[in-house]
Formats: sequence, structure tokens, C-alpha cells
Amino acid sequence: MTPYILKSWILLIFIAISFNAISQKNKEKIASLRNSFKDDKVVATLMQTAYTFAIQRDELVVNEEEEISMISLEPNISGSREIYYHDNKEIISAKFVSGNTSTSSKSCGNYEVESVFYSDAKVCTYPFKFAYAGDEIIFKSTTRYNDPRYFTRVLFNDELGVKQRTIIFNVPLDANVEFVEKNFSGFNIKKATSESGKYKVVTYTVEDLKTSKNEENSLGILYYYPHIVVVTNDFAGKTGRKKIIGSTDDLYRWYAGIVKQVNNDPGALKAEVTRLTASAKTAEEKIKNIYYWVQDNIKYIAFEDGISGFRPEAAQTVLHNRYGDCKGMANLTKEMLKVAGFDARLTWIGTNRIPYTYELPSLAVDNHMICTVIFGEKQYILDPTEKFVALGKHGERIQGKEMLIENGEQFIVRKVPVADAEQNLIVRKEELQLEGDVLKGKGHISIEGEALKNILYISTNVQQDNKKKLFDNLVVSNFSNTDQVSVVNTPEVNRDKALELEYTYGLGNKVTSFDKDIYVEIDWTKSFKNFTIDADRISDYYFNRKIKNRTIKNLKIPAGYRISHLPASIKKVHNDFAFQLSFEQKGGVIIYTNEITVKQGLIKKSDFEAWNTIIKELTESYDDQIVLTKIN
Amino acid sequence: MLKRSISIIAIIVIAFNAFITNAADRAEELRKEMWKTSDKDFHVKEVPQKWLNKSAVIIAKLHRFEYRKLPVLSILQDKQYNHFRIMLLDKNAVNKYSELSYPASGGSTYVYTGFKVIKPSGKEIIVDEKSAVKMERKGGDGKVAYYKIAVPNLEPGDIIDYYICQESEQKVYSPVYFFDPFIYNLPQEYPLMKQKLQFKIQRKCYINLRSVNGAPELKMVDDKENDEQYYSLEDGDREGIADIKWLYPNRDVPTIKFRASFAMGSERHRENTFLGEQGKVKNKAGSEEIVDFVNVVPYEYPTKSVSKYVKKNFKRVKDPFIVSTEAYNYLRNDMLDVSQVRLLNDDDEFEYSKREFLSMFTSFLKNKKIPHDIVICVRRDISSLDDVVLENELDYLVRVKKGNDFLYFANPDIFRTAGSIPSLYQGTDAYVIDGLLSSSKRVAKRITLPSTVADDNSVKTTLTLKTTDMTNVIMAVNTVFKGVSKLNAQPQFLDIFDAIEEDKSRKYPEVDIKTVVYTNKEYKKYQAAGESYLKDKEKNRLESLKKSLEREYGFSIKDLSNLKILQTGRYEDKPELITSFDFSTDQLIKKTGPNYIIDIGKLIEQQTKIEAEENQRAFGVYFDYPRSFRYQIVFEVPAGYQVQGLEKLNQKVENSTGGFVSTVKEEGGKVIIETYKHYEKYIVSKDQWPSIVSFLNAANDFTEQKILLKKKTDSLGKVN
Repeated sequence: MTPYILKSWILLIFIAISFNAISQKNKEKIASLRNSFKDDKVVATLMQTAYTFAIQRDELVVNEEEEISMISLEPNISGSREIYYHDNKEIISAKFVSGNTSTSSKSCGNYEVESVFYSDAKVCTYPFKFAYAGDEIIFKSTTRYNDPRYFTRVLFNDELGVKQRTIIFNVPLDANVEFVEKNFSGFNIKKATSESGKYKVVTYTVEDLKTSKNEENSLGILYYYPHIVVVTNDFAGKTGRKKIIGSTDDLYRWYAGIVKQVNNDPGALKAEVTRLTASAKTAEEKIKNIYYWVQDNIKYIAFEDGISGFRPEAAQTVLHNRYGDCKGMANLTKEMLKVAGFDARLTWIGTNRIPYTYELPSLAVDNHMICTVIFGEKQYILDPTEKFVALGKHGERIQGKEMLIENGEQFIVRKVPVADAEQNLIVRKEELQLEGDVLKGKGHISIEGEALKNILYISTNVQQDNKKKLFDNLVVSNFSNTDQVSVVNTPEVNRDKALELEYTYGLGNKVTSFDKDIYVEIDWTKSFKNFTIDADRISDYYFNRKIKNRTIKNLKIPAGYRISHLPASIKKVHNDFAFQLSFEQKGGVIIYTNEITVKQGLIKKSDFEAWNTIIKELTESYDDQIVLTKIN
Repeated sequence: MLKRSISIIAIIVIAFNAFITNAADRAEELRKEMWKTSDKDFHVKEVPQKWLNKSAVIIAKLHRFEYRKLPVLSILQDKQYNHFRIMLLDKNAVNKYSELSYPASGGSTYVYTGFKVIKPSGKEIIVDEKSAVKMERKGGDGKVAYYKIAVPNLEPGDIIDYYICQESEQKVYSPVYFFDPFIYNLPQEYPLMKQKLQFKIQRKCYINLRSVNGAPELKMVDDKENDEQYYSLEDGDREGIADIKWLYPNRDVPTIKFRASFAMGSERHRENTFLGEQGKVKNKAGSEEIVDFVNVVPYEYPTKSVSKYVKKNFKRVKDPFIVSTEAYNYLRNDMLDVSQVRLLNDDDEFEYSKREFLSMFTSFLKNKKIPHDIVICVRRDISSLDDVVLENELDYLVRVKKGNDFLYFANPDIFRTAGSIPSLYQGTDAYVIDGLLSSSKRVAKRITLPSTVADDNSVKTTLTLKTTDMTNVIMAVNTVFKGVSKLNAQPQFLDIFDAIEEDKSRKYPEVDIKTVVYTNKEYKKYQAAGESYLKDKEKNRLESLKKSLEREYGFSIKDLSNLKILQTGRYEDKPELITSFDFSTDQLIKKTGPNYIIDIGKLIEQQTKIEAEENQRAFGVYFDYPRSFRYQIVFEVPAGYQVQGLEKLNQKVENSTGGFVSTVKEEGGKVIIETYKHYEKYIVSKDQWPSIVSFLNAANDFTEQKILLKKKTDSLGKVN
């Protein structure tokens, strides 16, 4: 390409000197940071966030001032800082204030959030680019929460590794704000409290924070990373103390106040309720009919726009639209049940992604709304966003979680019952025999719980001409175009019963003959084969459901053959998980059983080693095969 | 002053209100036009019995495009009217149409929409568009905005009837303006009862239009009163089309190609030969027009540096093939500086534009009086030569002549060598024009470009493996890539810095990014970025190769090491890419009782699997290029073991479309397996699909094959 000609020697020398000076100065800094941040490309040497509660026009607001000093540990690194904002949090100012790094103009606006049709959540992105290792830049921003209810928690970790992290809370002496410390154990977080003028100052400092990772199959960062939940109780207003949310009473009162604004029209629901309950013989049947109808007919479309994030859409609107979010569905269910004569109540709940209970009075405690029916001594917990969940059964994500149930001016806190792994039982039974090199089978699979729920949903939402393919692949995975696989019954769409599939198959490539021996791969599904867990994970491994899988296969020994080898049986029982594989001969049949249980659907980090050891043994067993030898 | 301000505000308010009124009127007009249409197809409420088991059926569909220049003003209007009436037959379709999005009005573009649901009872429910939400993002590079609307009360059995219309105006600054070209496959995702394509064009506009692959012809209606012409196509009763392996839809399914253009009559330039005549459809591009079009290439492209290089280094060389090859390689080397900058910026790879390369290379050849042809070709997946109707369907090659021999040159990347014809042009028809002739004397001649055969594009892998502990298999892999397969593999093993390093041994000027950056500050930045890139290069290359190998073999590997690029394949004297590396895996040997099973079949990598529902095929099969894959697997049998199960490794399925052959022998304590899979054709008719499936199945079956390592026993049956 056309040669570039240098124009100014003086300029060149100046640049060279300054460049060398910068790189030399920061060389030691980079080396030092590398000790703590081995794989990071950019590190925040200082990240300080100050939250100042201020009384403005007799309302409490929270100003967030953040300063981040970033340094690049490698050259040629692009990145950006993001500030998320919404109807109750505004950006006052944000910019790069110093540094030798190039920046480009911000872009701001909506972004798509998974499973949310529309929300008021927006983001501003501020891009930067480091040319050299050792380049530094400082980003300063000021944002404001106009309603302290929405200022719920502060995380210490960042998407960057942070050398020096400081969080400061400046609270007016006449405001009552509590800071609830979470997951501090294992982190050397220092706390100092002082007074400065009219403010109480609480300062947290910590060093060498690693980047926060959103790991797959994790319950989420709130379980593992240090953070502070902010409870803003009250402050001194002009006419006395003004409440924010300082207790569960306050929280409920605020929620209930919002719910009261909903203009439900029971009359508009009556016809549908009458239709659904007309043929019901029992009260339970009536509840069931309404509950299942909402599950099946109301599509989940979520609007989280300002207060709409907390206020349900009116029941008649959801009924007409045939769509709604969790609040809209819970409210419709409640109102329909009320029309049907039941004591149905709205219920707030945090799914298992939130590790808090209602002892913590904060909007951060819950993220979901369901409906509870009080029927004499009985209680029915209805979550209509869970498609194909049976009455009396509950989705894994709410099991064991506290519910805040409406009770007039008061509230009730109860827990959702926890089911055991048996509720998710999947049982496969097959009769197998050899015909030449083809393994012929006749099977039956029975699926309950979370898998049942998912399969019924998928099978009723897949394109109808693909349904057969879906079930064929469910009974035998990964078969070839020359194999014969057929589901012989029409699976019933019934959430109250296990899903039953009857099938037959003829598969090549599962049997290999060597001389007089036949090697049979009896279990090609090989559940959890090689399923070791990375020991470097921060979080426990969560399967999203409790697991109980049982497989029983009976292989008929062909005439003229004897068993010359059976793989070793395995029985490994741990507190949280168990693996039992066995091969046994009974007359002319080999009985293979495989039962795998993960009691809570969760492998704790402390158990990774034990889990991985068992998985290795399991894998070896799967690799082994049945050997049948021709009798001379 | 105050009074004046008020009057300005008043004018603005009045103007704004006028706009609102106009927009509202237009919205109402369009609503009537779409929903009160006299077109009976948009009032149908039933779908044929044969499609009731489908997810949805398109009852009627309209796409109307209007192009017009406003009188006097240099403003072009581009209007698109899209109307859909679809019966939803299952929840899948209901879910899909429950949430729709459409562009927001902005600037001089106005968007008009309407959504309604027709229940089986016939009741029509119009969706309140006030419920739509706006998604908007503003930044330094402008604003992006769209709406999302949730369609209420939608159930299987309902019909959704909606339209999205867009009317845009733009000022034109050039004498010729091309509206976006439009290539439309008539079959859609869902079965379709009726569809209409309409193009309404001012008579002064130019129209390129062609129906291909059996698509009906568009009918023209001349509306002299309004100085307009309509082109309209009515189509219907089409089955839905899903994603299909190895299909070029533009070559097989009925398709319409269309483009409107506007040109000031007197300002028309030579390069606009494809415009045809005002107001008349141009449905074919003849060879003469193609010559005219190509003649616009600026032949006086500066070639000083390449000429100087050739003159200096190949002064006495007369062979046109050698001279042109050296010049080509020089141009390829000349890309490396800007390519390096792009790499370090994470930008797309640099390439010369089609015409830039053509001008540059033919200018050199012309300057040196080297006989050559300009080759005008079209990608096989886009069109046949006879169906070309838009100039941007065309691509160029150059071929240098030596007697009756030709050497082809394609727009280079940093790997492409002289003689390498991109796969999608191979075997296609093309026009050639003698590059040494003056424009007026040029005549296009039709040729067929050379094809390749399977072994021209081969991958040959030798795998030597052994085990010392009956758990891990240690493998040494040597692979030779040729032809198109080589071009596909080179980016995995080589980068710009490898090319720079290799080219140092040639006599090119030193590659220095100083030539493409404008300040010393920038230069220093790129130097630092380059150093950083090189620091991690080997580690990154191994990590990427590991991932790729695990994907291709279908099992995890470890200890990947000794990666060597034995030959880059960047120069014609050593045209193959040759690589070698070692790795091991513990996932091939399985202990079974006292013996061991080895998944030997997995060593030919994962093979294409044809699913049961793919056994039937309604379309031709289109491969990018013929190719072959050879494997030689040499397995050292561990001492004390004998091998069983070899006989099943002998397979042979061959036919005119390709084949899979495998053989095995045992000699000198080693098992030697050789496999050969080959695809012979570029295009295979649908009738021959079973032939392809047969060898694909054979190759796929082979991957399931196993051998047994059994402890040797003595004559008494004791294990030795």
C-alpha cells in the first residue's frame, strides 16, 4: 500500500518518550495486578460507589456516584461500561473523565430481556478502547433512585476484577436505613461506621475481587457473591416520620395498596367460570378446571413497565387478551375462583433464584406472583405460569420458598411444600431380544413431574406435523434412518397422570459380533456418562430439577448362547445423590437396572470431587458391555 | 418579537397538525384498501383439507412495491405494501403470531399497520395498536426503533390478517438510483393458497425482472392515465418448504428476481447497461450488454509497483503463466499490511472489490501485453448465466492465455493461488472477453469454466495410533489438504502473520503497516497490538484446533501438541497444505471383561447423518464442490493381544454420485484401515438422492464400527 511518510521528527521523538515513560511507569503495576488477576485483560484498580440518601421535596432519594479506574493489562482491548436504568432510576451524568484511552459515543435505549415482552429497563453503553497495556481510564457516573424502594441491593463484584472496592453509604441521621450483609463469609470485607455532619457514614472495603461469573446450571450469583441488601425503613419528613419499607408489614401494605388499584370486573368472568365449573362434581374439580384452563389458554407475555411490574392487569383484560404475565395470570385465577365461590388470594413469592425469606422486607425478596386457595383446612397453591402442572403439585422453582399470602389487612407467610425426587420419576422398561445383529425391543416409558410438564408443553407447542418425530426421538435417541422406531400408543395429554409411551424398535449398531462372541450395548442412553463437573466452578451445580430415573431392561439370551461376561454392578450412595447399576441373570434373561437419584437436583461444590469420582466409575461401567458366547 | 415567536409556533403547530391529519388519513386509506379489498382471496375463511395437519396455512399474501420520482424534485418514493392472511392451526403458530414486531416511522419513512383476528365464528377483532410498545435505541450512529405488539385472544383455528406498509422518500444525489433488488422464493415456510406480487412503477423507471425455476411470468398492465405500469404475479397452491440440506433455493424453487431503478435520461452512464429501456422490462442480460458493462472497468489502474517488482525480479521470464502468477502473488502480498490492521481491529477480512481486482490485474496484463480474457461468471447458488438479470449477480475472473492453455485468477485472499477457481464458479457457464482488445472490438464468447473432481479437493489424513496403558490412545495425525478443501482449512492453521513470515523469503517489499496507518501514534498502537496477538497466538491456535477436533471427532481429546505446518499451500509449486500434530484420548478404548473394545470407526470423524424424515427428497441436491476424504489409520496392536472384528471394516458402496469404501488389513503387528469417501458431483437430481443416502449411510455406519483386542491365549487356552 502507499507508503506513509513521517512528517515531524520532533513530534515523533516526543511521542516516543512519553510512550516509553507511560509503559515503564505502569509495567510494575501490571505485574503486580497479574498476581491477583491471572487471566483478566482489564482490571479496575479502584471501584468506589457512594450511595447518598437525600431528602428532596419531602421525599427520600438515593444518589449513586460511582468512580471506576480501569487499567488494561494487555494492548488492543475494547470494552464498555454499562449503566442500567429504568423509570425509577435515572442517569444524571456519566462519562470518562481522564485517561489516555479512546472512547466513542454512548448509545442508550431499550434492550430485549429474555421472557419479557416489554419492560422499562434500559441501558446506556459507553465504549472505550485501550491501545497499550498500562493504559488507564476513569469512568464516573451519577445516577439517582427517585424511589428508595427500588434501591434494593449492592453487589461488590463487577464484570471486571477489582483491586480496591469501596462502597459507601451516607445516610442522614434522621433516616432509618439498614444494611443486611449477605455472603460475606470467605471475603475479607471491612466495615467502618462514622458520622460526618448530618450523615451516618458506613464504609465497606475489600481488595482483590474476582470477576463475577454467571455460570450455567447455577442458582445464581445472589447465592455465592457478597452483597448488601438495603432496607430503607423510614425518614423524618416535614410532618413526621415517613415510611418506606422497613418491615414485612410495610412491604405487604405497599403490595396490597398497588393490588387495590386493579379494577377487576367479576361480571366479565362469570360466563367462562360457569362454563368451566358446570360439570364439576366436587370443589376440587372446580378449582382444577379453572386452574388448568388458565394454564392452557393464557399465554405468558410479560409487561414490566414501571408500576406495571408490580400491579396485575385486570382479570377481565387478561381473559380477553388471552395473555398476561405471572401477576395477570395469578389475578385472573384468583378472580375466577372467587366468582366460583372460593377463597382465593394473591400470593407473592421469590423463586429459587432468590435466596431470601420474608424476614427481609425488600422488593428484592420476591419476583413472582401466584394464587393460593384456602379451602377449609386445605390450601391449594396455584402457579398458572407453570404449564401442565397438576393441582397439588408445584414447580421446582417455588418448592420450599416462602409465600406472602393476602389476608385482608394482614398477611400470612407459609412455605410451598417440598416434594421429593420421586415426584420427578422417569421409569423406562424394555424387553429386548436379538435378531441377527439387530436389537429388537419393546418398551414402555413413564414420565412424571418436571419432565412430564416440559414434554407436555413441548409436544403441544411443536408444529403438529413434527409431533411424531418428537416422541420417536424421546423413546430412542439418535437412531439412524435405517433403524425402526415407533411409538405405538397415542400419548395422553393429562397432567394428572404420568405420561405413558409404548414403543417398539429395531436398532443396528448396538450389537457387535466378534468370532463366537456377541457384545451387546444394552443402555445406549448412558445417563450422566462423562458428566464430571468443573472443579473451578464458583457455584454449586444445579440440574433445575430433582432427579429420579429408573431403567429396567430385560434381555433374552439367544438360544445357543451363554453369558461369558456381565459388566460390574455399581452401588454408590451419597447423601445427595445415588447411582445403582446392576446386571443379573435370571433364567434365560439378563436383567439390567439403572437407578440414578439426585435428591435435591443440586451437587454442592464440596461434593464435586465425590461426584466426579462416581461419574468416572459409572462411565467405565457404561463402556463395558454384555458378552454372550456361542455354546459349542 | 413575542408576536413573531407565537406566529412561528402557530405555523409549526399547524404544520404538525397537518402532518398528523395526513398521516391519519393515509392510515385510514390504507386500512380500507387492505381490509375492504375487493380481492376475494383476502376474504377466504377456509383452508384445504390436505393442509389441516400443518401448523399454519397462508390463505393469501400480497407484496406490492411502488417506485416513483416526484415531478421536478429530486425525490424518490419507495413504497412497500405487505398484507398477510394466515390461518393458525396449532399452538406453535399461535405462539409465533402472538408477538409481532414492525419498524417504527422515522425521518421520511412512514409505517402503517393493521392487525386483526378472525375467529372461526366469523367475528373480527381489530387489535388496538395503542397497545404496541416502542423499542428504541439512540447512539452516535443514529437511532434504531421498532414496535412490538402482542396480539390478543389468539387461538388455534383463528385467522390473523395483518398488513405492514412502509412509504419512504429520499433525496437522490446521483443520476442513477437503484432500489433494493428483490429475490423472492415463491414457496414459503407454510403452505400457501394464494399470493400476489405486484410492482407498480413509474413509466420512467427501469425494471429488471425475471421469473426462474418455473415461476409464473409477471403480467404487465399499462396505466397510461397515471403514467404508471403494474407488473403482477398471481401464484398459489404451494406446499411449505422447510430447511433442507444441500439446497440452493434460488436455483431450484420457483423464484422471482426484480429491481427497479431510476436514471435521469441524459445522465445515464455506460455502466448502466443493465438498465434496459425506460418503462420496458429487462428480463435477460445478453452477452453484448455484459461486454458493455465490463468495458466500464477503468483500465488505467496504477500498476507501477507490481510492474516494477516483476520487471526487477522476472526480467527475462517470458512465460505468461509465470509472469502473471508472480504479479498475482505480489498483489496478494500487497494485501497483508491492511489485512494485518483489520485483524488487529477485529474487523472483517480485507478483500479487493470485484472491479478493483479486475482493473488492477488486467491493467498489469494489458500493460505487459500478456494475452488474457476477462471472465464474467455467476455463482452457482445464485443463478445460471442465462437467468442473470442484475449486474450485481455477476462476478469476474481473469484467465491468462498461453497457446490453448489457460490459467485462471480469482479475486485473491491471502491464501488463494493462481489457477484456483472459487468452488461456486467451477463448471458453470461464463462469458469471456479478450482483455487486450479495445472496447469497441470486444465480443463475448460463452465458455464453461473448468470443473474439479473429487480428488482435486481432497483431505488425506494419516493417523498413527497406539496405546501403552490400555486406557489412553496416543495419536499422530498428518493431513494433506488440496484444492477447495485446502482453502477451507487454511484459516484454521494459518493467519496473516504466517503469510507475512512466509513471504519474507520472497522478494516482495517488506510488509509494514506504516503504509496503511496515518499517524505514528496509530502505528505504535498497532505494533503493540501485534505483539500482544503474537504472544497468545500459539496458545489460541491450539485451543481453537482442540475445539474443532473435538467437534469433528465427537469425543474429547487431550495433550494436543507438536502442531506443525509442514507446508502452507500458499504457493503453486507446493500447492497442498500439510499439517501434523499429536493428541491423545481416553475415550476410544473401553474395557469389556478381560478384553478391550476400540471405537475405531470414530477415527474417520463424525459423518453426515441423514434423518429418517430426510429419506424422501423433493428437490435437487446442490454441493459446493466435489470432494474426497481419505483416511489411513495405522493402529499398533499392543503386545499380547490379538484383534477381532476386522472383517466388518471392509465396506464398499459406490455409485455415480460418490461412494464410501473401506478396507482393512493386519500386517507387522499393525492394523491398517483405509477409507475413502467421495462426493463426485456439483448437482445431483432428486431421483439420485437415494444413491447419495446409500454412501452417506455406509460412512455413518462405519463410525459405529468397533474392533476387539483380546488377550492372546496359548494352545491350552491359557491367557499369555
